[in-house]
Amino acid sequence: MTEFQTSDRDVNRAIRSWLHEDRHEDVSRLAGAVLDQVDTIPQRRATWWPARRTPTMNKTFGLGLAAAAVVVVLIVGAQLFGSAGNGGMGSGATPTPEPTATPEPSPSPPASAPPLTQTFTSNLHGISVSYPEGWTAEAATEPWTESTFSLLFGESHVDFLYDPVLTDHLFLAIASQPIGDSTPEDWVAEQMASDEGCTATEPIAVDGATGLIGGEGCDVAVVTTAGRGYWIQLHTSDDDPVVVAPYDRAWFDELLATVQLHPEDAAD
Amino acid sequence: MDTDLVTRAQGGDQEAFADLVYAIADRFLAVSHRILSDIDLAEDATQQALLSVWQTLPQLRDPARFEAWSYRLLVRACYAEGRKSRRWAPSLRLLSVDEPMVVDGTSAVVDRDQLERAFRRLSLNHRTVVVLHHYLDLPLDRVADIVGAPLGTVGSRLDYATRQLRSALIADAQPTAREVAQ
Repeated sequence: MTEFQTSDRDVNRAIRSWLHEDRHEDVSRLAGAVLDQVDTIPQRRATWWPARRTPTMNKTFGLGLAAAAVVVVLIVGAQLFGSAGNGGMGSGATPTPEPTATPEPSPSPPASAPPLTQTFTSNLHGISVSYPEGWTAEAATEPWTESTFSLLFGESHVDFLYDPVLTDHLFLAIASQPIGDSTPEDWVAEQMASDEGCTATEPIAVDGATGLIGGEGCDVAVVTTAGRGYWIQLHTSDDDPVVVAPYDRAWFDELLATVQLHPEDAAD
Repeated sequence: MDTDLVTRAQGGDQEAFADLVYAIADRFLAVSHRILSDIDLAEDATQQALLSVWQTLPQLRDPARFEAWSYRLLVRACYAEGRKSRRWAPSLRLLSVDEPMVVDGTSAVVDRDQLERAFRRLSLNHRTVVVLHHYLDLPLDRVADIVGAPLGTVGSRLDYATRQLRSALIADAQPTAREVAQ
C-alpha cells in the first residue's frame, strides 16, 4: 500500500508533478486560425471614458460656457472673413483642407465619478441600486450557493455593474443568499472572514439592514435582513490608480445610500 | 515579454502580434487545458483569449503588465467556455473496488488518476487558482491580480482545493475493500 505522507509539501509536490505532465498539446493550427482572423477583426481603441452629463450647471459654469461660445464665434468669423479676403469665400478656389492630426484619446483621468443616474434592479438577488450613467449592467443568471462569496468578473451568480471601458478594472459586484441557520452576525462575520483584505471592519446599515463594511482598501459591505444576506462590493483595480481614484469610499457610501433591499422578491 | 513587441501590436502591427501569439499560445493552451480538463474546450478558450488580446490590446495602459493582463483574458475565456459547456461538470466516478490498484511504493499511476478525478470535482474558481499557482508558479498576489479576487479569497480557494486533492490522495493510499478482505 502506498505510504503517502499528507504534509502540504507532499501534496503540493504531487499536484505540481501531475500538472507538469506532458499533455501533447499542439498549438500551431490554433495559432494559425487566430492569425487568419486578425485581418477581419478591428482593434478596439481606448476611449478612456464614457460621456457624462454634468449633474447641475451653476451660474458661473453657464457664464463660462457662454463666454467660450462667443470666443469660438469670433474665431470662426475671423477665419471666414480672412479667407474671403484672401480669395477664399466666393473666389471659386477649391478649399484644400489642412492635414490634421488624429486626436489622441485624452489621457486625463476624470475629476469626479459620473452621477448615479441609472437604476438596476436584481430580481434574482432582491436588490435595487443606482449606478453611473454609461455603465453596463449584467444581471446574475444563477443563485449564489457557495457558502462564502468568491469573486471573478463575469461569474454567473453575481450581478455586475461595470464601466464598459475598464470592465473588470472597475465594477460593482452584488449577490445575496439566504443565511440559513446562521445568525445574522455569524453570517456577516463569516463572509468578512473569507476576505483577508477586509480584516478591519466597522458597522454599517444599508437600507435598514445591518452588517459590516470593510476598512481602508476594502470596499465591501455585507448586511443581512429578513433572513437574507447581501454582498455589495466595489472593485477598483490597482492597474489604474489614477483613473479609478474618484471611486473612493465617499462614492461607495453615496452608492450604498441608494440601495433598496427587497429580500421577499429574491429568487433562489 | 518584449514590451516593444507589445507596443507595436497595440498599434495594429500584425507581424508583431503574430510574434506575440507564437510566444504565448503554447502556455495559454497548456493553462486552459489544465483548468478546463478538456482539450477541445481549451483550444476554444485559447483562441478566444488570443483574439481578445488582439482586440483589446490598445486598451492596455502599461505594456509591462501584458502578461498578467493577458492571463486575465485567458481566465475569463476559460470561464466562458466552462459555462457554455457542461462537459467540465464534476465527474463523480469513484475508484471502484474492482479496479486494479497499484500497490507498489510509487503508485504514481493511481495518484495521477485520483488527482485527475479530484481535480475535475473542483469548481473552475478552485482549478484556476491551483493551475496559476502550481503550474505557472505564480505567487498568490499575482494570482489574485489575474483572477480579480482579493488575496484572502485566493488563499482560501487554494487551501480548499489542496484539502480536496489531499483527501483524494489519502483515499488512494487506503486499502481497498478487497485488500482488506484479503
